[in-house]
Amino acid sequence: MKQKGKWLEWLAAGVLTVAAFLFFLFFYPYHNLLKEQMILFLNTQDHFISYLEKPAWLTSYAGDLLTQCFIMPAGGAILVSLALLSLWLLFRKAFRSFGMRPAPASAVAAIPVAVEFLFHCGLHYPLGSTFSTLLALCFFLLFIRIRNRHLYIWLFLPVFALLYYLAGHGALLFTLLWLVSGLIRSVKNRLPIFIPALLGMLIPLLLRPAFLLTPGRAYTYPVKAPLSLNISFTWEKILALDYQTQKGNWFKVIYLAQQYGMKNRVASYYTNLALSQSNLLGDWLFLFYQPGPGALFLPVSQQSTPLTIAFSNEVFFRLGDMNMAQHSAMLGMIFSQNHRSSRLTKRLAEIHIAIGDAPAAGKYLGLLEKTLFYRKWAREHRTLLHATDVPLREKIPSVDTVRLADDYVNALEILLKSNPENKMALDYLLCTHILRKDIPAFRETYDKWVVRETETVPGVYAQALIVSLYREGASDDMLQKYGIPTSVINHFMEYTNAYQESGGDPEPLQEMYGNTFWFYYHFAMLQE
Amino acid sequence: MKITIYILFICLMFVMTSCSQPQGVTENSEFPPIYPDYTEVTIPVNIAPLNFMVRQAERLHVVISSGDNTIKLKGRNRIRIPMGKWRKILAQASTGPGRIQLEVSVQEHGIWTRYAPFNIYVTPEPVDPYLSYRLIEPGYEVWKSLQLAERNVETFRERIIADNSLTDNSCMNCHTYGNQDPGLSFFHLRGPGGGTVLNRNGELRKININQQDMISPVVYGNIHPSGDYGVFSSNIVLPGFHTLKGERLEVYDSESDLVIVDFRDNTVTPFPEDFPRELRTFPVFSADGNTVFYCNAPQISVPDSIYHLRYDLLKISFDPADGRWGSKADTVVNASSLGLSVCHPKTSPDGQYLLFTMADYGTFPIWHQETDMWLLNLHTGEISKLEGVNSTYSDTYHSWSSNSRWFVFASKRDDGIYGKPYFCFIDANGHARKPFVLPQKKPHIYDNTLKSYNIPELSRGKLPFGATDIERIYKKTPAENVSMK
Repeated sequence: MKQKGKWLEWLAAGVLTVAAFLFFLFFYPYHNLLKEQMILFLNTQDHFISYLEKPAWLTSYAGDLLTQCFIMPAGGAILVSLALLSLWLLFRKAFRSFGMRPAPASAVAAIPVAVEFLFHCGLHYPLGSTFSTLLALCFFLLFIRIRNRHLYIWLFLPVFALLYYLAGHGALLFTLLWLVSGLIRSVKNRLPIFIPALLGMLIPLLLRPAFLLTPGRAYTYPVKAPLSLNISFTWEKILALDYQTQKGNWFKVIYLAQQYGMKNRVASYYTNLALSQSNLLGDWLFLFYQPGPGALFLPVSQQSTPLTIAFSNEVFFRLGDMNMAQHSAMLGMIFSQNHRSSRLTKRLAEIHIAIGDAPAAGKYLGLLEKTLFYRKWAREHRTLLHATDVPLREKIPSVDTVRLADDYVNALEILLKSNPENKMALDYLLCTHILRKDIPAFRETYDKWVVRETETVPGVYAQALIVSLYREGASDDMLQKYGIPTSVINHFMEYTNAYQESGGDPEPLQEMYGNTFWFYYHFAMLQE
Repeated sequence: MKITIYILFICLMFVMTSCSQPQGVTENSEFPPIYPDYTEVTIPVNIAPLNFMVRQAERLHVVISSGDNTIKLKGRNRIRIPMGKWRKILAQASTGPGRIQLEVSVQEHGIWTRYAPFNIYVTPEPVDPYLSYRLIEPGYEVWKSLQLAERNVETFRERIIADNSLTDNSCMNCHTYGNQDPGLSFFHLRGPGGGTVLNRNGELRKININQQDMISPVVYGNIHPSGDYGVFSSNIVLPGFHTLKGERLEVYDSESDLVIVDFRDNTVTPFPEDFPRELRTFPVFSADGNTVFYCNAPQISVPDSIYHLRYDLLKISFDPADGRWGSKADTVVNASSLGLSVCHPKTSPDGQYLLFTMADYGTFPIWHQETDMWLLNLHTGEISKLEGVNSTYSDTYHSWSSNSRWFVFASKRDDGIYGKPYFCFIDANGHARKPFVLPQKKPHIYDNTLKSYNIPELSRGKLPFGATDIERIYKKTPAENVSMK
């Protein structure tokens, strides 16, 4: 019976570990993929030494070292699920040492593991933090082997200090377990147990000037961001779009955006980028949620989050607006957890290769060459340092002007002036006007930059054009000159009638015209 | 017996290989490709060892010699020069031949190459032993993590004197000394607990130098030799972005003016009202404290006319007895007539020189690649571009050593993005020698860092405060207010 219970516990642990593995592999891989991208782990001596300047150096170093393996979805899934299993085993052992029976110990041990699991579902929780807890448990399990009461008490402070340096916040868990174990051991005279525990709790405060930490951070290191205890599938979906964007899987992005049907600005940002890269922006713009012109660019401002800043370079880079791409990539790196990011270092290298700035590109490639997984990429790209036929280079503006960071219209016009073939810039400029409902600016841009003879008018542009032409009372010849299909003209007339009949109520128009510019024009509330 | 012979043989081989020079060496008439570039530079007698590396090297042999003193070193791709031997050889060189010679042999792809020997010239004039700088990512107008650091240039010891993680992540402007005196310095702390932190022999004051009549809180500034006054600019600073590749950020003022602050009674004296409304910035006292040099430009529409915004170097008298501005300003360098724009004037402590930078236009030259340093001889009025000192990237933000023979400046010459402190010697005739970068214990630190060394400033001694003092003053000390005179 006892044996059967033990097997059941282990079976449950095994099943839950496999479930966690499958969860992180198939249902929640993108959080871990992002975590890897937001660190830059260098295989150098001075990178190692930089960890020694803070508490939790060992667990942080080990955590970041292994976080590199999150570059593969299976890597993250395996490491996190194994860490959670180890955590359960050690917590169980610790609880058993308090005299708990196996089954309750197993059940209670599952509670901190569940909490840790939820932490790992957050965007910023480091693997090193789990390692801190693991190391604290190991220290405790070794410590309770000390049978001599005096030694148990006197050794606490030096071990606490050592553990704090090695594992940061793990020392607090160690103190708690040590205290409970000490109280269980000492039936009489329990007071001496509390004194070292209280003194130990002062150690992070005393050491914080040396580590340059605030009191709060001194007790929570290596955790840097506020902890969250929720599984966010919204962010998981956004990160999926982000990941596929980085890979250039544009149809996959569009497919996922269709599947998700999200009403989220960042999702729209990636969807619009994918549509432009697939040459579908002018046709499919309103098949997806559009919160306003802000769906085309992610701003870099005080209101932005670190993550949206990190994402914001994607559009600038593909547009050829390299100074803004560099600005947002640099800021993305600055505002990331560790102020270093492999993804953004890679992007900065790409930007400087495109610009033709070999010394700056060399700096970033040099860093990537010291990593485990980007070394090959960096070496391959070193050959491009002095190349002349870099694809994005022709898009970079050849005229100079000084503009504000959020003056997107001006930036797009400069890109077009420098290279009228920059189709993405043209689409983005036209769509900016469309999403701003600025028909005169759209018309002016269209007349100035679109070569009419060679192109059929994309659906959304035709819808905007007909509004402009209708306003000025254009003739049929004019409509023909602009190449507006008869179907669009008929559709527009139907919509106009339906709009008048509805008396300004969007409800009856939603199904039939919800994906048109006209509906957006009348009913969308713009979000900046 | 056999084992003993083996051991002896191995030991013999070890001794032979460790003492021997590389065999089958190819000669190369060029200087070795060392990083940092220390070839033919001039260094002060008190500088830390110039450790260097050869990036592609598999092995490295270096012989450093001066007179009869020789140091032989080996390394994989970098060398670390022992401190004691380095001190000894520098001391000997500075009193003797005035130079040390380095011979570098490099093994690459299994082949040894011996490069042409090069000199490092050693001057007996020391550089001030402490250097402060701000460590910040070159992220334009924003920041997240920044620190003010102090480095002993005679060793490799670096100390953090302020860390914004301890001050609610607020911005900190660069640390500026008065007279290169560690007991007289200031920097601006921004944020809710901020103010201008004034250090007088370790006693820290926090002053909110902002008044309704001022354009903004003070920005650029300098302390009077007496320590009683500060001269500051207050500026509305705006960032803009260039579109052309290579050009990056343009930071410009829409408004700026000067004020004198009397630290004794916290009063502010604005610039005389009878002067035309113009842009005035980067004020600095002369060595005797009787003059203020500053940059001046006509107010034009920015950013549209930014390419025409050019500052001249002007001076105005200052009366330290009553803290009053003079009534007349004179043009010292008419940079606009040369099609250039002046910024960052700094007078040498002996009053002989004024070092400044010039760019094609604008007021914030960090991202202007063409920014170069110029030297004005205040006795003769002659200006000269420091040709052998400037690079193809921005060279600016300089600070003098207290003996006026050395200055340090920030240069982006390696990669155009990350600034590093370079030291330059000015000889008795006013000729500048080839500068060298701040030596590091591990030279590859510059390759791996993502921080700029912002606004390096030299000092005669160690600062009497640390990061926790700044945390305390930020969080617990209320700021003193100022009043207009």
